[in-house]
Amino acid sequence: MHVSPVAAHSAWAAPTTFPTFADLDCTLDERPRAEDDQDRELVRRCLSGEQAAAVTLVARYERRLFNIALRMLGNVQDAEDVTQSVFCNAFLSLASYDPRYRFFSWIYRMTMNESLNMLKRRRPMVTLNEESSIPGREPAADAAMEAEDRVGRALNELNANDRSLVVLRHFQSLSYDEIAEVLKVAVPTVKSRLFTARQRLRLVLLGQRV
Amino acid sequence: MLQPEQIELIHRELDGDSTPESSAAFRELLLVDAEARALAAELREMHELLGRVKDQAPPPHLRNTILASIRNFARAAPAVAAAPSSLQSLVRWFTLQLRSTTIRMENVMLMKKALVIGGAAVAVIAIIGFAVTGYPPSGRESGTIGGLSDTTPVGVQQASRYRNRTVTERDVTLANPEIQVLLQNHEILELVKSDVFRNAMRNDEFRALQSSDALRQLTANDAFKSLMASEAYHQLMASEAYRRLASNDAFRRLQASEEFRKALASDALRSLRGNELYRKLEASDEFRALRANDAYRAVMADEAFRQVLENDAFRAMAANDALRSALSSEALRAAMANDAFRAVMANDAFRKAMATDAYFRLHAADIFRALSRSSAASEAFLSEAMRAKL
Repeated sequence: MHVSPVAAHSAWAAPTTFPTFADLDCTLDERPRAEDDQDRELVRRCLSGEQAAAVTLVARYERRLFNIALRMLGNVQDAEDVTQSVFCNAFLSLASYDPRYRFFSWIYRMTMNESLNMLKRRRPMVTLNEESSIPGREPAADAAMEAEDRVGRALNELNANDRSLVVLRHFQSLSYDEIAEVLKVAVPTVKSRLFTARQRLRLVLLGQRV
Repeated sequence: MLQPEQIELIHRELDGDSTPESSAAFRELLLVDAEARALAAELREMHELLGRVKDQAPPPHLRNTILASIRNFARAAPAVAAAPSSLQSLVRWFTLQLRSTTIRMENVMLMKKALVIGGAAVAVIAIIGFAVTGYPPSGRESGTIGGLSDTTPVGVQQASRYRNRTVTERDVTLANPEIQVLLQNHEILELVKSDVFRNAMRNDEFRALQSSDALRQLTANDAFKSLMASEAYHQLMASEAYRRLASNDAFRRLQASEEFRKALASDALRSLRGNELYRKLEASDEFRALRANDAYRAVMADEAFRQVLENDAFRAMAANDALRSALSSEALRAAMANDAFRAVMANDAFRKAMATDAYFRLHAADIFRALSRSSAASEAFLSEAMRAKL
């Protein structure tokens, strides 16, 4: 892949020192296994009819699933729909969940698939509207809004596969292994696709500056 | 030009996925390669930018909506799972669809959103309201045909009396008291004399449906009758929003679409959401056009529609074995999948005719059902009608 020379983008000039990125909060820590065990226990209790367990499970994953869908779709209302639909489908088929696998990867995959289906369905239609799209699509007022705005627009320019990798890695902080589990692909494939997706995202972001 | 492995080295370092050896190699690369330094800097800035984007809190109502959905599904799921194994085709699909979409629609209403799934609920109602029954319900109308009265539930109480009777051309005369009763009704006569009705009656599939056991079974079903008699269903069918939807091109195209026909006819449909055919249906141009349509949105927001979905009779109907059996009948499926039948259903004039009480009264008459079985008897009936004076 072609890498743009720094000279062409003075704003991205190399720093005088070369960090090892240890200062960045982007290590590939695995999810605590205890969390997966808790999920399994919650699922078991749900299946035995315990409503409190369902409430807990929803509380645990609502925000995460909503944000995955939001980043995938760029639209709050669609993200709500997908989140709701995923939970409904998940609980409807909870009995088919295999506890040998981790619950998060099962429900994350459902969220990804539902989001991709939503993208396919709306492909020929203009669905973004100003009221419901991610806040920050309007001219940004501050740094955080600017980041939201730039990233949101850049994500929209990626294809769905690239976007899913970026979302899982950077917005859900999943490890390569976990992404592989969610997307059901091999870890080397995750790496190579993620790197490519990031290269594309980088170019889109650079393009925004021109 | 950086090599792929060098680019990967940078990405892995950035991700904290480096070994001590690869970290050392990374530092070495940056020292000697300006392009690597540039890329590393750009990627670092990108990581920082991505890190500044924070999670958004879901809307406050979302959790309650989700939990309400789950509770509703929990109520519905056991009954679906308990459906007889022999009802693996349309029956199962209808059952699940009716229950699931009803529940979903309640939640959609809560969110004031028009999910695509709502289209299925409307479509099912439309199938029942038009393709199956062929008339808007009119449970509060008194009638003179087929034993209908103010106190008689909508349906055909006397249907069995004529079940095996063969009506011939000779039976269809003005001298026949039953025919006379029909043709003495001004509205019915007007309907029968209309071109669109006459053309429809010359369609074999249409007539087959009018006289089918499945339709009789359906209309004799208590749950169905309760629904038909319900004020909510009556209001829905009478509502401007529903009439607009029913006459809407997108909706009609959906009903006439190949995807819809396949979805209805498929034996493989066991689950609405997970089914490929349903997904194709959802992805079809017709469905998408429908979702974007004002008339569709109006029905979604219509109070009467919501009441129908919440109506106990509607739910009972969805869970009723006899009704499911009727819906699964080959005759009904064949009729709905038949091109000629769909063409009739797509006819504007006929839709208007179906919206009249006269059509309902005519359809409820046993003699009409009986004569519908025969092309010759039907033709004779039409001729008698033409001779009768309005």
